[in-house]
Amino acid sequence: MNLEINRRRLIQYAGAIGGVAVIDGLPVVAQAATVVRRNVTDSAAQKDLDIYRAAVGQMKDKIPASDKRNWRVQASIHQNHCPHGNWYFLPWHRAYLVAFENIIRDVAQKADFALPYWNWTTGPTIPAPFWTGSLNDTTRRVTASTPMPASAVGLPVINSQVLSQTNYQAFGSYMPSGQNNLDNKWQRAGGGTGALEGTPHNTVHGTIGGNMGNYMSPLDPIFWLHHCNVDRLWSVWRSMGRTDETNALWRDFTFPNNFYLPNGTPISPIVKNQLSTEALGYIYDNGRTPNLAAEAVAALAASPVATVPPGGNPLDGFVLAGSAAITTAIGKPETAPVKRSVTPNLRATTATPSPQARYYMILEKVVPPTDPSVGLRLFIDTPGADASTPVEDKGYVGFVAFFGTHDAGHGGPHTVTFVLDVTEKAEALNLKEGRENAVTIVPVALNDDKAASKLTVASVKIVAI
Amino acid sequence: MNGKPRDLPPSTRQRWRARILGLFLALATTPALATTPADLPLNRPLTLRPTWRGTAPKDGLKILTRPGPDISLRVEIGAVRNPADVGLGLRLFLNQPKATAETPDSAPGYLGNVAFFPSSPPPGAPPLSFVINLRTALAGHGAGGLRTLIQAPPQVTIILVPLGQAPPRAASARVTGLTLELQGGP
Repeated sequence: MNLEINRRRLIQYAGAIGGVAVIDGLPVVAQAATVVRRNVTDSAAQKDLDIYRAAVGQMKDKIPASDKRNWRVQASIHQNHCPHGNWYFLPWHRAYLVAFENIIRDVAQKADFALPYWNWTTGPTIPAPFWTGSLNDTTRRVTASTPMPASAVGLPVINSQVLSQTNYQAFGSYMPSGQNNLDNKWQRAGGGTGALEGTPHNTVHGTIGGNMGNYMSPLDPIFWLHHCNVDRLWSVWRSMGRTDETNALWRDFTFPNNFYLPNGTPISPIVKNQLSTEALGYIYDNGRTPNLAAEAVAALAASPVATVPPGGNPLDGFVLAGSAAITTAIGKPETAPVKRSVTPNLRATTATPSPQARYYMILEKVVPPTDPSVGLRLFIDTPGADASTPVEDKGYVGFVAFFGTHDAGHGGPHTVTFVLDVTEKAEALNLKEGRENAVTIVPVALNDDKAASKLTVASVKIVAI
Repeated sequence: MNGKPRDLPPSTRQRWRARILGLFLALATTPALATTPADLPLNRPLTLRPTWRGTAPKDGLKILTRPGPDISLRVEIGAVRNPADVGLGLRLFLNQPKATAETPDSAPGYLGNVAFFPSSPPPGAPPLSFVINLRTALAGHGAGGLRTLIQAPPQVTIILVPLGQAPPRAASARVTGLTLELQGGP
């Protein structure tokens, strides 16, 4: 039975039947009723976590092995079909999560359930609820206080080694060696492990060990939240303007009868239908982060006098501090005090961010240097920082580069606004409303062709959203 | 005869002795360069010289100091011996032959770390192959640091390390290939 159906027609149909569409045979919540996958440590995820705990208990203890919703049967799907070390790694696991989430909805009879994710960058130990009851796994070789290694999941690694990859395969693993057709034998053929799979993904599996260390890893309930975070990073990478693989050997590949509907019917997802989370019926709570921050920037730039009514639209955010223009050059670190209320009469300063706020450093309207092969290393409250200051420094918050910001065919360089998520550093650096911070920008040459050109940043802001 | 070392002035003889001693010490402390396939025991650094896959760029790694294509380093792992089924990872360094499991990530030449999944590949599984983008891995060095780093022909030091709280039991992996490849054409 061919379960690949014209998606547009299905979504049109979904509107008529109340918001449910079918993609590759799997009913999904249509765009109008998108569910939100949240960070498991967020209080807003508690409801979904409770549903998950109860459903896992049923799948382990009540649902028999003859039922495809059985816990071990679901884990066996991974053992029997999972691609690793090749370019199907990301889309296959996305399809696996969607099918599993649908089964949890059925078991729990909760149509709006969304899997939470475990953000090991912000919380590198296994979350506390996963050490008791149905969410525990006694085979783990770590304790509740063992962090995942910062060398694999830390913010600098995720930013500079994973999300910085501009090529899909370097990011999400490589085409199997010699693949020349869509035969199913390529699904598990070796190609090459890319940055996301080889470093944070594999390291988390290997560090936890026990069931998580092998192909029956979905037996450990943390597996699904771990993979949700991997899936989230793919979503973040795409939102940065990156392009998925365009090769038809990737896009048209089918995973035949790999997954199941709750009633046991097998389904066969196709890679090209796994690319948009919105089309599959879900988004991540910060999946819109870049756009969200950009919207905040735009709102603040357009209307600096009245942006945030207390308790109002969360898109507008809180400007904690800002600076005037900064001009700098390679080899000339520049430190700017970012002060409260640089934007006059900004009402945001009368309120405080919520405990769940995310913090961003925004470099507004940067005029790139003539030579785009310049990167900016960014520090907060580290005035002596220079090109040799290590990334382990407490004040280091990240790195941005100008690749792709010059478009020779359209009039040369234009300004670019960088938005850097610095939430992980917010507490350590005491980022809060009303406190002044200093931002140090260290331009570094990435190659020998550097021109002695300067770059200008219209302003630096630290914003909580 | 004037050319004999014993006839040289004392200061010159001392310089010769110092040079010979220095050469001896360098040979004694720098691990020998291995060739693939090579066994990689737990926590014991192995230094290899990668070969180019396809056409090597004329300037080798120096193209990383200019805008242009990326270069990827591919590490191929054959058999993995992991009797305690511990989590295993690889730490990789470029032109740092004295790197050890304790060398910090901030050291020059650090390329990153990768891990095995599954920890013990089942029989018949395809060989593991990790690919590292050298341009992004070395971006933090800046052009000056990178130029210094790649002056010598490329050597890669690989260290097999346990992950998490795994006890350091016997484990090893076999490196079956180490290649450099130009990405996206010259």
